[in-house]
Amino acid sequence: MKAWILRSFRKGIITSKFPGGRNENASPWSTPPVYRKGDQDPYCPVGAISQGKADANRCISCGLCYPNYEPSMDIHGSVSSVSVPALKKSIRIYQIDVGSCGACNLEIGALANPQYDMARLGISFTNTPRHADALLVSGVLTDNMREPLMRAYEAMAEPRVVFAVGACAISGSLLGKAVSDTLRIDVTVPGCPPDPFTIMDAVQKARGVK
Amino acid sequence: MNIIILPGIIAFLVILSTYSRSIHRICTITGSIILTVVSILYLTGYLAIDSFIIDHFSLSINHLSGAFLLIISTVWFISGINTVIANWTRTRAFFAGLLFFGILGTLFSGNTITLIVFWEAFTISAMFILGLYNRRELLSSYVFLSVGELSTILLILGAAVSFASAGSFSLAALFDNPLAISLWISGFVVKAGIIPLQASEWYSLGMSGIDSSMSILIGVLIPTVSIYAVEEASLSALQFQAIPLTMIMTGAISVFAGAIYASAAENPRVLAAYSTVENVGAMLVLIGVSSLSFATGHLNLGNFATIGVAIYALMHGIGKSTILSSTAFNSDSFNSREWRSMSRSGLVIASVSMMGLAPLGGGIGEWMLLESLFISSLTMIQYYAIIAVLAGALSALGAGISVVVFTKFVGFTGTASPKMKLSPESRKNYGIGYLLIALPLMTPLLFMLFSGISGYGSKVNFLTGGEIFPNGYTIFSPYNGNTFGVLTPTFTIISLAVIFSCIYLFRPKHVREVDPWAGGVERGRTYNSFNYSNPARITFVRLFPRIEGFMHKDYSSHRFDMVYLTFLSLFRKYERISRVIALKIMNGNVRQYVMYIMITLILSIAIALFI
Amino acid sequence: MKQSHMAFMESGNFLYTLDRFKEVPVLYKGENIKEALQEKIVSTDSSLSIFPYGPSSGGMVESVYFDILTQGERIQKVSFDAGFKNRSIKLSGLSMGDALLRIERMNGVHSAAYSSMFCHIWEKGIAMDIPDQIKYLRVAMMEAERISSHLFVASRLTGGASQNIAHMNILLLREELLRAIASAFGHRYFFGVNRLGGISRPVNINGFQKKIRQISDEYREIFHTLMDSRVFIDRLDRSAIIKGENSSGPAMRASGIKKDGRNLHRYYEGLEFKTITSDGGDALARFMVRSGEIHESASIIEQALLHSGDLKPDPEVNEGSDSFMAGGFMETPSGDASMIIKVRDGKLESTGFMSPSILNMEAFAGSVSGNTFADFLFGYESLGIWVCEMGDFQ
Repeated sequence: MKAWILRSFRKGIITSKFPGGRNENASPWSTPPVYRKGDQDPYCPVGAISQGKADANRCISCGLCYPNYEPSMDIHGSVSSVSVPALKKSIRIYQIDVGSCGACNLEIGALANPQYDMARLGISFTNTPRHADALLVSGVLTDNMREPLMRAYEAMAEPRVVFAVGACAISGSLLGKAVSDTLRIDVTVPGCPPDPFTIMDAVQKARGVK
Repeated sequence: MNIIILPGIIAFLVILSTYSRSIHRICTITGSIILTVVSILYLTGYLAIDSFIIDHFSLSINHLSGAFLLIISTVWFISGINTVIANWTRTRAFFAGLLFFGILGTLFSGNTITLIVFWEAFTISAMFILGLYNRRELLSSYVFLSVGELSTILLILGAAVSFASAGSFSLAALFDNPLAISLWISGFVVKAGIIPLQASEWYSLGMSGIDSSMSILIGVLIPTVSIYAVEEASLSALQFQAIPLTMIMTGAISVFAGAIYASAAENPRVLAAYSTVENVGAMLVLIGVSSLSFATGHLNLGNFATIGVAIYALMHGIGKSTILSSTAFNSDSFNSREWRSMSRSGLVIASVSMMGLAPLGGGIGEWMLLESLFISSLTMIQYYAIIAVLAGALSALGAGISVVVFTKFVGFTGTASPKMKLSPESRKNYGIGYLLIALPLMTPLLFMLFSGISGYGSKVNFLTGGEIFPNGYTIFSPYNGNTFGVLTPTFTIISLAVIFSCIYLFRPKHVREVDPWAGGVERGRTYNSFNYSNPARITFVRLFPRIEGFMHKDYSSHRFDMVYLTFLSLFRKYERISRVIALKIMNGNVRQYVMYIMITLILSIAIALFI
Repeated sequence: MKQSHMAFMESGNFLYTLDRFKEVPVLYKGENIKEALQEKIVSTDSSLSIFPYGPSSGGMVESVYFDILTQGERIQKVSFDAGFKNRSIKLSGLSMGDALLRIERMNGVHSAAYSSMFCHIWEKGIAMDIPDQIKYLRVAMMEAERISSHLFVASRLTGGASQNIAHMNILLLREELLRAIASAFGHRYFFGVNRLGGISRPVNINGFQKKIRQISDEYREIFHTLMDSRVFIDRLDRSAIIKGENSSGPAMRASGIKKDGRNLHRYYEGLEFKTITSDGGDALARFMVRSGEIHESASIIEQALLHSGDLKPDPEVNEGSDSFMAGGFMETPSGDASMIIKVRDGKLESTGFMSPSILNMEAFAGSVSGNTFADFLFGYESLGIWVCEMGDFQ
């Protein structure tokens, strides 16, 4: 008991000041690559690179375009087509895994880490989509998960926001079908897997905070 | 001559019932209806008490066995219904029939030899039934047999001692010898499954995989008939007051320990078995009180307690067999929605009865138990009074725990409501399901019949019950020639019926239903808007008129929700008071709680000693 | 080619013949629960009921479905369906480089282990010798990944037991580790670092060992404080006991069997480490094994990085157009995975893949009977099962 309290004091405050200040850290190759050198478009297994530009939604962070391209270290790559002020004070997230490799699940879960501490922004996880404001979909859409995904979407109350987290959910990447073919996506969070800061930034965008 | 015709008919039906499953059901139901009619005729006096003797074979029927005949025939009826889902074979049907026949014979037997023969007959057949269902694990049948044979040995010893001293096998000869009567009674008590010899009870019910129809026969009928035998013996042995005192204490400890064990049980059938142990203990206490009262000259209290035993036994018989059969009908293998919903209602009603809540049979039995202990603590001499107080404290504690036990039981088994498709077959036996509900409800209406046995110790007095049932719908408990307490189950039932019909009539007609989130796949269950709301409020709000008018410049109409406001203010007051009580008195401190119990116990003993 | 194949076959306990791989992956194991229910209920009337859990419900990291047959609060039997998120990844017909990208994403959390295994098999197949530096760098990656994976399991267990401060402390350590990995290797989950015959981009391992050592020491402190907590130990003790060899990795070592794929692997030659075992085979034993392995992994990383400085990425490796058949195994954080590939003209013709989670999932479903409902989570999480790697990879 005593040991835990002493540990907490020793650690001090480690939570990021992110939406206010800068992000302290980013996973380099989870951010969209940008052009550095070379004349020809390098080989890209998902065909994301054309004419000196990399499509963030399709990039799977494989790094095969190195050294022609290098990570941008920009975590603001997410695009939100909605802005829901009703969720400004509190937003409850339901995460549904429709066929991911597990990395996106952990990165979404990492938002609860002390370093990110999503609770300070009024973000929290919920165990049922009935209580959820946002649906975070990760992974390529498998046939068997289509029904649970649609049920989860139907179970949610308005206003509801659907996030496609990671390249698999946005574009299907190498491995299968994209979620957007089945369900309308409101927010895309690029990366393979996206950095937790990117996910946090995307949630803030959807709430219209930024 | 009825006494010899009746077993004949039953024997014929038992043999016929081995033909097929449906014949078995028909025979059981027919037989139980015949027995019920006969028992009611005995209790109301249209059939005279009767006996039949050839040499050492003796049958006799009196008012007590008439009352218990009603109980066992009702239980047999429920067991008969349960053959619908039984894993039926001819051998099992035969042994089930033999078991019932043995129990009937025990009820009718007129001397020790005949009783031991029938006693052994049903013990052996119960052992066979347990073994037939669990051929691989015979432990439960062996445990049952060993405890059963222990009781038989005690009975044989008792009969031998009485034969050695009086030279007769008659029951009357038994009652002159203290050793013989002690052996005799302990033989029955062992079989009834009393603490600490409860192994036969929970092993046979909880650990073996027998059908519900068989578990009703073994788990309900055997304790019932044991209690009958104990009561018959103890009512006749009035001169040894140590025996009823021992019975009261043993019974009270059984009530308490049985309830504790039941609340800790993880398996629903073990729970039911320990609840039987608890009920047997309560009946034993009542028998002790009645015997002690007759011995000390408190005839009214004796009659009261005797009726209490019969009501308790009837409650236990109907309640426990309804619970066992409801559990079976509620299992996933049985696909009939009507039966399920019926049996679920039956389960809830039977559980309420088994919790000992008024106005159902269990409530009456529990009330009579505690009332008779109260009265005896006030009227008996000091040392008996102390025992009555101690037994009362233990029994009341056990009764309280049984509320927890059955709340847990219903919570685990009775709340799921799966949606399923109906097959035309499942509609067939629609009506019998209602009986499962009706039987526990019938208990208070049947109690009048038991006034017939109230004269067993002193006088014969049919249907009126003298001072106990003066008008048929009120029970008075006697105290020094006056009345001590009153219970009116009939009025309670009527008032509850009125309240519930009001709620039914004024309920919202359109109930919204939604699918719950069940992991994203179809589960076939829905929630309705009643699940999380207060039905009483929804109902009563309908009684109040709308208010229409301008409000903040907008025309609006809304209900004047006085009920809500009243509830709110009441609850605020209640909350304030309960917070004070919670902080000051009931603050969850176990030490404090134990202290309250100790103080209460000491005060009660002091009152019993000095007032 | 033949030689490498033989070497694989001779590698003792980690031998899987191609026939074994041809079995359909265990995605669904469930018919018997309905039968068991029929059997049990027809003969008894006790209140058995099926509690369905999943596929998408709170409390689970991945989508997986369980039918839990219960009687009261005791679990009688568990059947599972891991086919909900089966991605059916098609590997045959791909070039080796493209296949590697997919193999990395078979299980994103153990991607370094899988990609290293695949590179190793390919290098064996074409009889290519890679420098020790690369070998040890891969070992360092895999061990860092092992620490991260074990920390995740520990965080799930402490979170499930409501040891919230310990839970947060462990999550904190894991995040620190992932950040250290990101700055050293460029990606928090090692995607794209391994390349056939080498690595794809420069790594910067300055101070990496020191960070790992610090995390390991801090974890050891947390572990010892946790072991003082009666509440935590009571939750793990005697839940989901797995005995014998029907499990893999830390689960097997927790039942006292001293087997570790790393002892036999070529990459680990010359590195000294202990094989951590425990007895009891319950969730507590598995937690102890994982905690011990975190410390061992830290020392392996120190040894491995002693030999490798800052590496420059290799020039593009020619994937070649050989035809061969080769197999190999790798000790992933959850247990030993193994793979056989058949290559024709530089393209994958067919593959056989065995993931530890399949074995562990079956072991879990068998072990949890008799436990109470509350033990379910601890049994599942302590095994470190990843449903994503149980899919159908042809």
